Amino acid sequence: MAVRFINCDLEIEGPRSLEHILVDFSFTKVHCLGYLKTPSGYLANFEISHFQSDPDSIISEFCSILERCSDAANSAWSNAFHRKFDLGYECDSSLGFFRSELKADTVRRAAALRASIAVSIYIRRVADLDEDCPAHEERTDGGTVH
Amino acid sequence: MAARFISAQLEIESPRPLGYVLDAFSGSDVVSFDYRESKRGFSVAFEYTGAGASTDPDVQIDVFCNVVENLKEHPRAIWDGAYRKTFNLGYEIDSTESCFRSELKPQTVDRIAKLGASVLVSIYPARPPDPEGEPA
Repeated sequence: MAVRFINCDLEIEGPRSLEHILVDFSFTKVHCLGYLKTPSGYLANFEISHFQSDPDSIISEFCSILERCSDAANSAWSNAFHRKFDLGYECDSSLGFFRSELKADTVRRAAALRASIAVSIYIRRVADLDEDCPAHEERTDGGTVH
Repeated sequence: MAARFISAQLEIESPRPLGYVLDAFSGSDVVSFDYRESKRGFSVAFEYTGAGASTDPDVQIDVFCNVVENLKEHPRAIWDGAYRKTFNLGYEIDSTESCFRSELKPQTVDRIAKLGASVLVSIYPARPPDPEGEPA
């Protein structure tokens, strides 16, 4: 396997409820991975269900959905203090070389939505990798190194 | 080490010669490399060499953006007419089990967007240790 793109999550953190966004997303292919109350407000994570593809297509799809959101959801989005597209890559010990690109138009749409773009790299032992396991479940054991 | 950000590079492919763009970058914390001429046109890559290298993609992209945003009319027209303008974020990994995250701030994403550039994520295997003991 070496290196592969696993998924692109959308993470939103805001001072007020994100329920309007959850409601709007519930009518789309966006799936909520978690919605929590935090000391600073509310945090939600989303992925696009049944959309195994490249990061550019996934961010484009998220942008298309966000650009069509209701005024209430748009307000929650605008008030959020963190809006992040998180690109996840998984590597095994055989390593390798990998490239993936976000087109200029996709970057423009993410910028218009005032989102950040994160790159997360998960290095696993080959024995830990299970191709049948959904990407978001595979991630739960990992910490973050800054 | 596990995984780390190594550098941001700016890659340009243009139908017109890139000499004026190269000139605009001279004197900044950026070096050009891999200047080529082909049937398609001209290409060049730039790499950040200043302080803060290997730490933060936002810092490095900021330097590139400062130069491009201040290009004079002629080199700016060459930039705008380029086929491809790509910020290439390079990450290096070894086989140590871990997780790593880096992030481009919304302000950086906005500056890249305004320059009409794309973003490339490149993940490379760690270079093997130098046999003479020099750090890789």
